Amino acid sequence: MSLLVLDKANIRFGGLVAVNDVSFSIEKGDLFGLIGPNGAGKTTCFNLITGVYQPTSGSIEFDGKSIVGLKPSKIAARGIARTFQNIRLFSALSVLENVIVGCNVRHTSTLGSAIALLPGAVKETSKFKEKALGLLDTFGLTKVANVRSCDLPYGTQRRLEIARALATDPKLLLLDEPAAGMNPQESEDLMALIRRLRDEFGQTILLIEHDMKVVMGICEKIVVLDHGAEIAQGPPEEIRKNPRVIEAYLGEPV
Amino acid sequence: MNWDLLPQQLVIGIQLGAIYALIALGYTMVYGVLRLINFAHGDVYMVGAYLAYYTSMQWFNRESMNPYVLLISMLVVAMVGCALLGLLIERFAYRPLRGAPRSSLLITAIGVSLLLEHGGLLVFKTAPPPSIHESVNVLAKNSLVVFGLRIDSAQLAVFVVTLILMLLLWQFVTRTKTGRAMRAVSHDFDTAALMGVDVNRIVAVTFVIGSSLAAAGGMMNATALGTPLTTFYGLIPGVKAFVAAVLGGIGNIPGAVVGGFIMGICEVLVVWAGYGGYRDAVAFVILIGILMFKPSGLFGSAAEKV
Amino acid sequence: MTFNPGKYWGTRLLSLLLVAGVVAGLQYGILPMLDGYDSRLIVLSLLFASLAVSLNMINGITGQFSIGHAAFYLIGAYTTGRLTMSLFPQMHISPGIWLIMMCIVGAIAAGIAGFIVGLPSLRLRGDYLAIVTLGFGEIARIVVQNQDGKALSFWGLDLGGAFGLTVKPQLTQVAHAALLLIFTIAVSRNLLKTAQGLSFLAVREDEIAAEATGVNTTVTKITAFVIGAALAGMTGALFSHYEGFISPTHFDMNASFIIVAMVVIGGTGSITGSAVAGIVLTLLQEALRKVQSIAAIDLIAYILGAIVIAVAVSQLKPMVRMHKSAGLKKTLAGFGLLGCVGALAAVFFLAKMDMATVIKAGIITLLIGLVLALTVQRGRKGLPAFGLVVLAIIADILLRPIFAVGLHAVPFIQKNLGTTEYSPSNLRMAIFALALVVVMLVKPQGMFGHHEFSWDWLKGLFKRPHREEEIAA
Repeated sequence: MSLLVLDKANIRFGGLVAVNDVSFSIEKGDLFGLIGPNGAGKTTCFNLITGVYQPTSGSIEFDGKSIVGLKPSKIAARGIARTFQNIRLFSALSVLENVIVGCNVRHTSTLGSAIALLPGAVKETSKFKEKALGLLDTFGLTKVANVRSCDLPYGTQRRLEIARALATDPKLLLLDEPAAGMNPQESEDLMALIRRLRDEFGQTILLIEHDMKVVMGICEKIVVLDHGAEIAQGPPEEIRKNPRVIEAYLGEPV
Repeated sequence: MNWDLLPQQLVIGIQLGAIYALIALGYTMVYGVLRLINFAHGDVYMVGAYLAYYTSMQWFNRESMNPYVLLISMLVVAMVGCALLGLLIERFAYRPLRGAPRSSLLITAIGVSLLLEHGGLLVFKTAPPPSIHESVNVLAKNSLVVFGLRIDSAQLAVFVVTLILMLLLWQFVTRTKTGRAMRAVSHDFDTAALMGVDVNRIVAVTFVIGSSLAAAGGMMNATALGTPLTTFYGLIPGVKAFVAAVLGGIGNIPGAVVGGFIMGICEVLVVWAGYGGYRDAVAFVILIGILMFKPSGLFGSAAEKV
Repeated sequence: MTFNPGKYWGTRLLSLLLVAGVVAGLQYGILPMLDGYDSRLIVLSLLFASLAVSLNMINGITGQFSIGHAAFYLIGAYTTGRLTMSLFPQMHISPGIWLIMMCIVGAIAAGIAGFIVGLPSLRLRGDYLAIVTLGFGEIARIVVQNQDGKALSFWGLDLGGAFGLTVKPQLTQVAHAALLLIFTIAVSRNLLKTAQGLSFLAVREDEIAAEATGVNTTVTKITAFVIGAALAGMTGALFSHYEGFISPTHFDMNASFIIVAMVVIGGTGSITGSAVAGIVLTLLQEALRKVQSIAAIDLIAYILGAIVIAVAVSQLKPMVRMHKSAGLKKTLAGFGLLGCVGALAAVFFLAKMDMATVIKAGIITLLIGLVLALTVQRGRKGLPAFGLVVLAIIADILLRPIFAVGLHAVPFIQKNLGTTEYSPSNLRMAIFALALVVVMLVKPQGMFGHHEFSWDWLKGLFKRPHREEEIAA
């Protein structure tokens, strides 16, 4: 059974059809790429999957159940985590706190017990803290655990955003241009990290990326969007040769 | 409810609405360029009314002067004086806080408002509350009768002057270079600055225009109605005008005008219906009602992009 | 890091003992030394601190800018006041228990209102939300103002209308107010110690990211409104049973603004800041009642003196800025402090001036001078505040008589202002407003910024400073 199935997903803003009958399905363990020129509707696609927007028509199923109409936080609880194109961290919170917020989606203690500082809530908090520290370790962020996230350099902020997303124990991780604004060395490290997430943690990943080296290098399957519509789907080698993709996006073979 | 009185009440409502619209324009323009709710704006309106009072009752000789010249000079003194006041407020209270958290700016605005209200007690005559003598308001002596409605020429004058000021403003904002720069700043402060717009000058111009419009409103209301003045004269009209600005979509100039008229007419209707005690609450009831359906006001722009 | 039951229970017990000790100390140790006026001042400042801390829950921690907090305060006060008036005499319940019941009732009533006011926060942001909360506050006040049992009352409800409602008996004591403040602080502080509390902060920082990270922003925002409102409702209950008389003017827009000012001045989001600012601003407002009347010409003389200082300071600052080393700054500050005390003492002894006059004159000149100095120049860092105090006082002593004499010599001024005196009641709020503006100009982030009070700075004094770890990838 596929983990995520988009079936003729469609959204229009007024007269503009931002995503037009897009269908694809992601299997467990996939490293899936979503590419296309600017304004092709990639981020809108993410927003549909994560519930920021509701599709005008079509269905989105996750883990066999429809997630259309759910609030983003519900969808996050079901197991879809994401990062943002223009990094959105909790700026005034420390790196550690950012990740703990992610962990908190699995909370079981009640708000009352938190206010009364009952043992349950305290225990849970220290459990989350341990888990968050573990994640920081994986991402090489231990040293900056207590730094305010807005004081971090750009590349580190991107890594922290992925760490925060992973803290929610997602079954599917959506990365929106994770390598944007990184230098070649940083994006290479990032590729290694993403691959590691899949290989070591068995994480399923859907990725938007403009850096063709990154996409072609790590994705096994790619969907190409243009003007909201899907124009090609398949493994990187096929995509690279597809004339429609070359015309719309790649320009000439990479 | 006396239906016969309704048309006459509507005339009053439109006059009131014109005043609210004038004040609302200042709120909306300042909000446009600085994203600041300038709580002191209502108090500028109060100062305008006081300046008009001093002009007519002390500084000029109202017996020997042509009454129309007196009225115009009251308007001019009030507008120029408040333009200066607005400039001072912007320069000394708001400009040092550029880039500070917006809540700090808001508290500063509240502080300036309190300062004008209470500091005004030291400067202005308040006991007993003075009012502009009715002889100054020569226009009230004549009235027109249209379709059985009695419209006194003071009311008409308020409406016409408001309209003229608004048209001038609109011409200024859409036709002149400074007006274009102002719209650029209100669209995107930082980018406008990068594009070579002298942001400080534009903000100052905005305060000058906004404050003088409020002063015009203060002068006209104080003269037409002859209400006793206190330093809290601008508090309630200020809040209502602000509501009007939000109603129209804050930052939106035509929206503020429409909001002002809606506010004025609704208020008069509530009084007419016999719920005078709730007249100050109705502004907010309307506001909350409208914002529930249109979260960014009637003509405001939509929400943030993800 | 891990949960340690022994330490956990130890800390809980210790903090409970500490609370009991503080409250008992206040009630039996300090209170007997105070007269009625001072103890009233303490109760009011504690209550306003509670209000500020409860509003901080909504404004500071959850980031929903609400400026109509007096509404919840009003609802708590009126609901419980009315209930006490009609029910307490017939019920045979001990006053202490009744007061606790009233606190709970006030909390529930205001909590429901908080829920209703919180609903718009789901759709509205920033200034739009602010104005709706302000509107709600005004509506609540105007509705109460019309409840006089006559034509415009709903269901003939009589809350005394504009004349106010007398609440008897007055059950609240200083200890109650202190307990409430501690309780209010504990609620926010405990919450922020847990992972759940962090999600409130996450909503403040970025709603969209919070939602994507699994924080239910709807529930979080409403919860914040309900908690904040309920705490304000409790405060209202204590207030009505302390003051014995409540009227709509206690809860007008100004009251709301002052509560917001406390939160912002304390540093949005800082619990300590809200509490401290709540106490300080209440005390300041009351202390200003003691300001005597002042001659108009003297006031102008103060302003002139202040301009002189402002000019002096604007020249002085570049000099100070040249020396960037922290040690020098500390030394300067130390000398400044000493100089300030010294100058005060010298004036007191040598000039044989009344201490109150010296302080008053100094404060007025200083405030005006600060505003001018700060606004004349852009940068505000490294302001030599202590030096300014000294300058202000010296300038005041030296220059004021000169200016005053000079001003009296001008016929126009002499004729118009020669005999004008400003009464203290007029001055009070004007000075308060000026102080508000000054604090914002000096510290736009508020006294505490986002930070909380901690004892760490004490430890820091005894440690050698070490360089912060590098923030590198």
